[in-house]
Amino acid sequence: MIELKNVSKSYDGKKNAVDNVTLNIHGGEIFGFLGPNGAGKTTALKLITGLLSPDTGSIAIDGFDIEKDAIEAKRRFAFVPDNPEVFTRLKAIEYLRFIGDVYGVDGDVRKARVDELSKKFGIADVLNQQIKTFSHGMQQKLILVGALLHDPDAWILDEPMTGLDPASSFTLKTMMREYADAGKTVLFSTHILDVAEKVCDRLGIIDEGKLIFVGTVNELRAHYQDDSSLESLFLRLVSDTENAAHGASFIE
Amino acid sequence: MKHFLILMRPLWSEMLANTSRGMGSISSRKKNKDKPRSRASTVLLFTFIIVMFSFYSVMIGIGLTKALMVVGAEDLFIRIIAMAAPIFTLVIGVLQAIPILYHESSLESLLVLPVKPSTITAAKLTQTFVPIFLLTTLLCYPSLIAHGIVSHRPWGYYVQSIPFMLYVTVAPFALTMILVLVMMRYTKLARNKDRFQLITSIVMILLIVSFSLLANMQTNDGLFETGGIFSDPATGALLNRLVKFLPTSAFSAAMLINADRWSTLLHSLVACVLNVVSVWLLLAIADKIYIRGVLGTKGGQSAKQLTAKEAARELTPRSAYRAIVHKEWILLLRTPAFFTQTIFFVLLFPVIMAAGFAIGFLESPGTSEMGLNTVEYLRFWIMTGDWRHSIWIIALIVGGIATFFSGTALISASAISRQGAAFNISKRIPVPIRTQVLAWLTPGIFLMTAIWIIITVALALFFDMPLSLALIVFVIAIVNSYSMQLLGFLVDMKEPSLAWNNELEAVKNTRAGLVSSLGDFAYIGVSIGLAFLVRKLTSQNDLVVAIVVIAFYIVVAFLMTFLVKKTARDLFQSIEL
Repeated sequence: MIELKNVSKSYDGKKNAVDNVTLNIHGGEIFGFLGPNGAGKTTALKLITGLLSPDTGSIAIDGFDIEKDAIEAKRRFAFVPDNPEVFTRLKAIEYLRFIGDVYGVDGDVRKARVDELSKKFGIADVLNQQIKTFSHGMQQKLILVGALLHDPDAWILDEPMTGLDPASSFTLKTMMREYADAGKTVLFSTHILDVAEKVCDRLGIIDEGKLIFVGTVNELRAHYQDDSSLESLFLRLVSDTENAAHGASFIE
Repeated sequence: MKHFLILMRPLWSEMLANTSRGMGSISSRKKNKDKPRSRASTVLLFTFIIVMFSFYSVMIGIGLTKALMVVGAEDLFIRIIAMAAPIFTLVIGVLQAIPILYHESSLESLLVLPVKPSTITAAKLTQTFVPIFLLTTLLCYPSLIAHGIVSHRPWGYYVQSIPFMLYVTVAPFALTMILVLVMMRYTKLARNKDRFQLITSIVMILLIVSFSLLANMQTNDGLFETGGIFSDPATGALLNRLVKFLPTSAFSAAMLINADRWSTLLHSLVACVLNVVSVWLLLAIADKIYIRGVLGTKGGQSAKQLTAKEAARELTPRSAYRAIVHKEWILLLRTPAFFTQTIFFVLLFPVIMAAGFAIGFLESPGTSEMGLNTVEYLRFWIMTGDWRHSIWIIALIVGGIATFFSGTALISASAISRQGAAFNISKRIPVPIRTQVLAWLTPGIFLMTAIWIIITVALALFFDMPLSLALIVFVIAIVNSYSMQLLGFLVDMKEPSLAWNNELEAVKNTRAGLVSSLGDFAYIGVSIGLAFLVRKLTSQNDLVVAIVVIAFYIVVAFLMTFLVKKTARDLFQSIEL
């Protein structure tokens, strides 16, 4: 479970990149973060994962505060960034061993999981190669394998479909569903509204740092009394918010 | 030309940013709390560096010219500069040009632009060449002017000295780059660019070392009194022959030497034409062969697939500390820029020192009252136990060398910057910051300790040192080495250079590197000042001076440890990518 309470973050001290966000994401659900470019999605994910420190508010993963109890909180989630950040001179197998070591994954478990996940994502044949020889998509797949190695309670992904081939995208979506069905939390940001509509149990729409909607697609439809696609509802919501003086947010 | 100027606009900004990054005017941390850094401090630092280099340059110019004038060979000074400037430009230039031309991550965005490859080559090489040219000029030009004044050169000399630096550096750089372009295009080296860069780096560094040792040899011959090896007729003749192998240097030197004759204009014209032809040739060849057939050969030979058994062995669990240390070693050893700037330098430094001292001491004639040479005298001094009365001097010398050595070795001082964007992994993993800090410092401390063990054993055997003296040398060296590493590490944590395009940027021009390199001089100065102050206050009680100096080193080591422990967590948290 991921909890954000009144979280704000500003880069320049003037405008909030994330503005007073309060949100609970439960175990067993896939939660999608949507928003226009520069809305604050990546900043929000970086705050949740402890890469950035909030100016105000608190964030907890499974009850552990990411600032005060950082190590325990970090043990409980895995993060997949939008740009593969990885030590490119390591071989893939060395990277996975490194991840297994720092998360304290048992030897037999890690061997089994590396075997299973690398086959699932189609990188089993290249484990002995340096990561710098990999394409963007291959690096993304390796990071996904590494992220799942310690079987985290929460899985946080920033634009995870970027660079993945259709087969790997499908595998990823299936795995996200399996994860959520096993009672774990999946939180991801995306621009692909089709994916969000099909995969997410709930959505959070963020614009100019403010969370302007949290709920299901059906709740959004009910609000607008409109059965059209998520894409048109999303555009309408963002446009309404921008036109309204204080935003037309409605959060469950 | 129009495209070249358009391309140069962003590259120029990038170049300025890279240069000033080390001075702290650009920082990648604390985006939210960034205040505009004082330009005054940056300007002050630049001024300090310029003044320092110019001062040394002028001193060398005056000293060497006076010495050569004694033997009537003052023209040789111009030939020395005409040789040294292109060598310096080549050594540094080629090391920088390879990553800039072939490795930079931003390269592909330039290559898709509708401009000729020669324009890209020209722009990228200008980006490489300009800072190196400025540095070479800073090192050589003041000495040329000082030489002119001391040797009463005519006014034409000063006018001709303006294009001189360009004439002697551009053509050799252009011709060497042609060689690099050809090798990258037509040999298998391009398929393993890492290996190519590693080999070129090592060869270039060895060239610098050889040149330094050659220069080192002269100091023991009383350079400033007699002209050193350069006043030797054989050396002078050799240098004159060598200059002919670099026609631009030969004509440029002739241009300055004959500055009071009309023939100077002819020499100048030839040097200029040779440079223009070299650049034209480089661009013409670049147009045909730059990058085509080189990019896309990413990974070298494909690695063999792992069997299930091998994969299982490769995944054997370790502690988080060992995992981070192992990762650090792999990155240091596999990344050419990291290897050459850190490990290779650390391994080379003692060899250079040993060779320098050996050449100096072994060849020196008997100087003491007993007719012993320096080495024999030192052995005698140790054997009789007289060293016990001069422990403070030993402490200052060993402490100074260890501080300088550690301050210039950048293993710990680049530990954070080397991680680049992957530093986010360090922020995300559930490993206590203290463990991570210890792991990042481990390679540097381990390597320096190993090197000092080897140096101490070698010194002990060579000088027949008693165990107590060897231990004193070792402990003082290790304590100072440790303090300097922690200082560099702290500065790197405070001002890391994480947003780099090629790996060289992570270990060069960083603020930590600058502080370590300059800070060691301040630290050495303070320890020497303290020693002499205590000596004066205690009426030359050498034992007390030794105790105070050693205590000072130990206190600084504890202070640095305390600072790392106290601030590492906050600094770590404050680094934001």
